[in-house]
Amino acid sequence: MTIHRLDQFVALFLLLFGAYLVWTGLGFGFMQGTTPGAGYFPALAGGVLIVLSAINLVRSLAGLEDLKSRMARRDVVKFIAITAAMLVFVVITPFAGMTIATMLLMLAIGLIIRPSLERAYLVRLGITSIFFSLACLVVFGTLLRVPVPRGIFGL
Amino acid sequence: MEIMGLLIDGIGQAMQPSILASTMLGAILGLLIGALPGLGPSAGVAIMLPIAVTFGGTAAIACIAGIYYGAMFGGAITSILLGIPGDAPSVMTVLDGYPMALKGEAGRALGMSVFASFIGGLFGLAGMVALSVPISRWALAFGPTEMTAMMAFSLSLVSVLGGRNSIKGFAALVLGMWVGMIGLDPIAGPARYTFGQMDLFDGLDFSVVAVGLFGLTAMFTSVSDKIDRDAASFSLRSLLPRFRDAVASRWELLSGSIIGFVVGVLPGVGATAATMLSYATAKRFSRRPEKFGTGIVEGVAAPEAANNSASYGNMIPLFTLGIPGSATTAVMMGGLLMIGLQPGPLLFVNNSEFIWTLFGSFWVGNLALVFLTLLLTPLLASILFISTALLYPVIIAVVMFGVYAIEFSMANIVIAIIAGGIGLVLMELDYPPVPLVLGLVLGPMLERNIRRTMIQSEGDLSVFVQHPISLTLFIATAFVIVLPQIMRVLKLRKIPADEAEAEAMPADSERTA
Amino acid sequence: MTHSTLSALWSRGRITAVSALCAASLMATTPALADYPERDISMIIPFGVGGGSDTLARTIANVIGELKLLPVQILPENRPGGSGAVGYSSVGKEKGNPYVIATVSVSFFTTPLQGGSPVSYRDFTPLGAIAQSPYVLVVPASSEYKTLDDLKKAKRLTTGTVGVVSDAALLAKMTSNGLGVKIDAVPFDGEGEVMAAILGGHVNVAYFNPSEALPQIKAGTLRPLAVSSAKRADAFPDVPTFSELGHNIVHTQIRGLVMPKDVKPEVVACWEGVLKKVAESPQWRTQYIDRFHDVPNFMNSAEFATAIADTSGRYERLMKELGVIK
Repeated sequence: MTIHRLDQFVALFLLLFGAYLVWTGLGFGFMQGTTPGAGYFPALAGGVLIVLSAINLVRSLAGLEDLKSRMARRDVVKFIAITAAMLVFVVITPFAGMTIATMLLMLAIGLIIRPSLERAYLVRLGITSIFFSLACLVVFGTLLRVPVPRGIFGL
Repeated sequence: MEIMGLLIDGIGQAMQPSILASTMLGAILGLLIGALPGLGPSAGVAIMLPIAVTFGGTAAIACIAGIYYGAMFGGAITSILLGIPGDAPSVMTVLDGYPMALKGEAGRALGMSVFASFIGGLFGLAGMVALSVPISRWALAFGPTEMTAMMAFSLSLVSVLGGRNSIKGFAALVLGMWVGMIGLDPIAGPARYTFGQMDLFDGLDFSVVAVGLFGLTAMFTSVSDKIDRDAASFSLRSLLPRFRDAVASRWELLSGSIIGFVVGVLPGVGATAATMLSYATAKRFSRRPEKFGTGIVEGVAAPEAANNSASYGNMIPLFTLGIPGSATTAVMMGGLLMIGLQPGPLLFVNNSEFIWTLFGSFWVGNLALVFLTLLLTPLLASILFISTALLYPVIIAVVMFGVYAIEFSMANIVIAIIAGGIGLVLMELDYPPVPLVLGLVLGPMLERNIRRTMIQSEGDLSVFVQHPISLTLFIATAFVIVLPQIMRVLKLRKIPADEAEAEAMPADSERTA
Repeated sequence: MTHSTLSALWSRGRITAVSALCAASLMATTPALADYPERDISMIIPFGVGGGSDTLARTIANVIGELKLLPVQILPENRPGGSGAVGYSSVGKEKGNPYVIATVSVSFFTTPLQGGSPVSYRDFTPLGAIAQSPYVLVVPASSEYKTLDDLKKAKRLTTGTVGVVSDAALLAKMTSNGLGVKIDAVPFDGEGEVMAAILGGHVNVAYFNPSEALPQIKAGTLRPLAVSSAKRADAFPDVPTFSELGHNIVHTQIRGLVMPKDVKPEVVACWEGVLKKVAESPQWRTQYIDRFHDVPNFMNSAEFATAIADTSGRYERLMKELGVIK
C-alpha cells in the first residue's frame, strides 16, 4: 500500500466516521429543551469532519497532497513488531507479573531495534533489562507505593 | 511593606530543619514524578499524600506543594530529551524542546526550561504573595458565560498551531474534540462513545493520550531514522545551558508567566491549557513564527514559564477561598483537612502563620530546584549518548510503569499504545498532532461551558454580549482573527524594507498593554 | 488529632488488630461463624487517594484496627476508574466472598443506572451503615433570599451540581417540587467549581455537605437556609430542617459498607456488630464525625438494605424525569 493509498483510505475512513458521529449525535439528543443536548456537539463535529475529509479525499485523489513516507518497509515491520510486543506485554502481565513481563518486553524491543546475536550486545541488553525492570519495581512499587501487578513468581 | 515583612518572616520559618527537609523531599520527588512519563502533579500529589501527612502541620503541606511545583520542573526533562511528555503541562515543551535535542542542543533546551521555570515560578510567587485576595475575587467573576468566551478566545489564539496543511489540522482538531467527548457526558448524562468499556466511562486521561501520541510516536519514528544516533554531533558544549538565551526570550518568559498565572487562577482551566495559550501567544506575536516547532528556545521558554506560574496561581483559590480549582489542589485540600486545618476564606485570617511559612517554603523550594536541575542538566543530557537499542527498551519500560501508575490501570497502557499507533499513521499522512491535543483539552471545556451557559440563560444567546467580561473577550477574539488579515493587506502595500517594522508593531503594542 | 493516629490511618495497609476474635466478641448476641474471619480482608476503594470516599474507607479501617474489633487486618486498596465501576465491579463479581468489602458512594448507585457498570446494588450484600451526611441549602450572603420561603418569590432559580445525577440534583428537584418554583440544575465538574459558581453569583442556590459549607458560612460568604436531614445537624444548630419548615424533603448521603452478594448471614451478623461498635466509638467521633460534621447513625443490614433500594429508586426516578435514561 503506498502512502497515497493510505491517505485516501484514512480520509475515507474519517468521512464515514464523521457520518457515524452525526448519526450517534442525533441518537444522543440534538437539543434538550432550549439547550444543546448530549448529541449537539458530536453531530456538529461529525458534520465538520465529513466536509474536511471530503476535501482531503478529493485533494488526495487529484494528487494535490505532497506526501513522502519517512518509513522504509523495514521500519514498518519494526513498528508493527514493537506494537505487537507491547500488546503481548499487556496480555502476559496478569500472569507473569509486571516486572517479569517488563523484562521480556525490554529484551524483545532491544532485539527488534537491533537484531543482533553478538554476545557482548546480548549480555548488555540482558543486564539492562533485568536491572531496569527491577529498578522500576523499586521506584514505582516501593517508593511511590503503586500496587504493581504481581504474577505467579511473586514479582 | 507589611507583606514583605510577613514574607521574610515566612521564609525564616521555612528554614526550620523539619520544614526545609520536607520541602526538599517534596521538590525532589516532584522532579522525579514530573520526569516519569505520564505521571504528573495530580497523580504525584495523590500518591504521596498519605506519606506527607505523617510529617504533620506545615511540613506536610510544604511537601505536597513541593511535589506540585517540582513536577513542573521535572516534566520538561523527558519532553526535551525523548519527546515524551513527562506530564500533561509539559506537552507543549515537546514541540520545540525535542527538536532542539535532536539538533544536539539538549543542554541548551534543558537550561532554558530550568530558567523559564524559575522565572515563571518567581512571577507566580510574587503574584501569589501580593495579589492572592483580589485576584481570587476576580476569578470568581468567571462563570460559564465568561469561560465560554475565554475558550473562544483561546481557540482563536491557538489556531496558529495548525501546521502546514490547515485542512488536515482542523480535521485533527475535530478528532481531538471527539476524543474529549468519550465518557459520561457531564451535562446531560448519557455515556458517549464508551463502546461498553467501563474503563472509558470516565473519559480518557489526557496524559495517557499525550504520552502515546507524542512519546511513542517519537520513538517509532526515530527507530526508523537511524539505528544508532550519531553521537559525534553532541559536543560537551551542547550539554551546557546558555544564559544568553534567557535574555533573547525575555518577552516569551514574561507573557508566559502572566498567562500562566491568570489562567491558573481560574477554577477548572488548569496548567495544561495555560501552556497551550502561552505557546500560541508567543508564536503569534513572534517575529519568526515559522521557526516555532523547529527547535527554538522561545518555544521552550513560553510553556515552561507558564506551567510553573500556573501551579502557584492554581493554589490561590484553595488558600484564599477554600475552592480547589483542579484535581491536584483538590487532593491538597484533603491534605489540609488531614492536618486539621479548615480550608476556606478564614484560613488566611486564622492561620496566617501557616500561610506565610508555606509561601516562604515555596521560595526556598523554587530556588533549590533551580540549582538541583542545573547541576543535573549535563548528566541528563548525556543519556542521549546511549545507543537506541539499549535506551529505548528502558524508556518503554518506564513509560509502561508510568502510564499504569496514573490510575493503576492496564487499560491505560492499551490506550497509550493505540494513541501511539494512530499518532504514527497521522504523522506519516501530515495530520499534525498538536491540534488533536488542543481539541482534547479545550474542546470539553468549550462544550461544557456553552451548555452550562445555555441552561442558565434558558437558551438565550444574548448573555454573551450582556456580560462585560465575555463581551470584551469576544471582541478580543474577533480582533485576533481579523488582525492578521488586515496586517497581510497592509504588508502587500509596503515596500519590503518596512516589512519587519510592520510585523513588530502589533507585537510590541500587545506586550506593553 | 495526633500524628500517631494519622500515621496509622495513612500508612497504606497494615492495620493490626491482635485480640478479640469477631466470633468471640459477638458470641453473646449473635450466632457467629466460629472461624470467620481467618485471613486479611481487602477494602476496595473505587476512587483515588485523597478524596471523600478514600478518607471514609480508611478511617473506618483505622477505627476497626484501633478498637481491635477483628483478629485480622483490613487492607485498603484504591481501584479508581470508570466513575467507580472498576472498583465496584471487582467487588460485585466476587460472589459469596466475605473477604472483600467496599464503602457506598453516590457512584455506587448512579454509574450502574447510567449503564456504566456490569454490577448494580443488587449484586451486593449490605452490611450496615454508620453515619449520614446531610446537605445544607445555601445562598450567597449578598442574596435577596433570607429564608426558604423567600425562594418561592423567584420566577426561576439555578443551582450548581456535580455531574448531572447527584444528591444535589436530586435535592434541587425535591425543593423545586416542594416549593413550586422552577430550579434548573447546571452541572459542573467538581465541588470546587460549584463553590466558585455560587460565590461568584453565577447560580442562585447550592447544596453542600456540612464540611464544605461550614467554612464559608463561618466566614459570612454563604447563608444557610435549610438542612436535608430529619433532625437538625449538630454543626448548624440554628439552621432549620426542611421538614420543620413544612416541606417533606429528607435526603442524606448514607455512609455504609457492602460485601458481594450471597455472603453467609453469620458474616453479615459479625460485621453488623463491628460497625455498631465503630459507630458508637469515640475514635469514630473524633476521626470522622467531628471533622466532616456527619450525623452518627447506625443502621443494621436490613435497614441499610431498604435505604439502598430507596436511594437507588430515587435516583432512577430523577434520571427518568431528567431524560437521562428511558
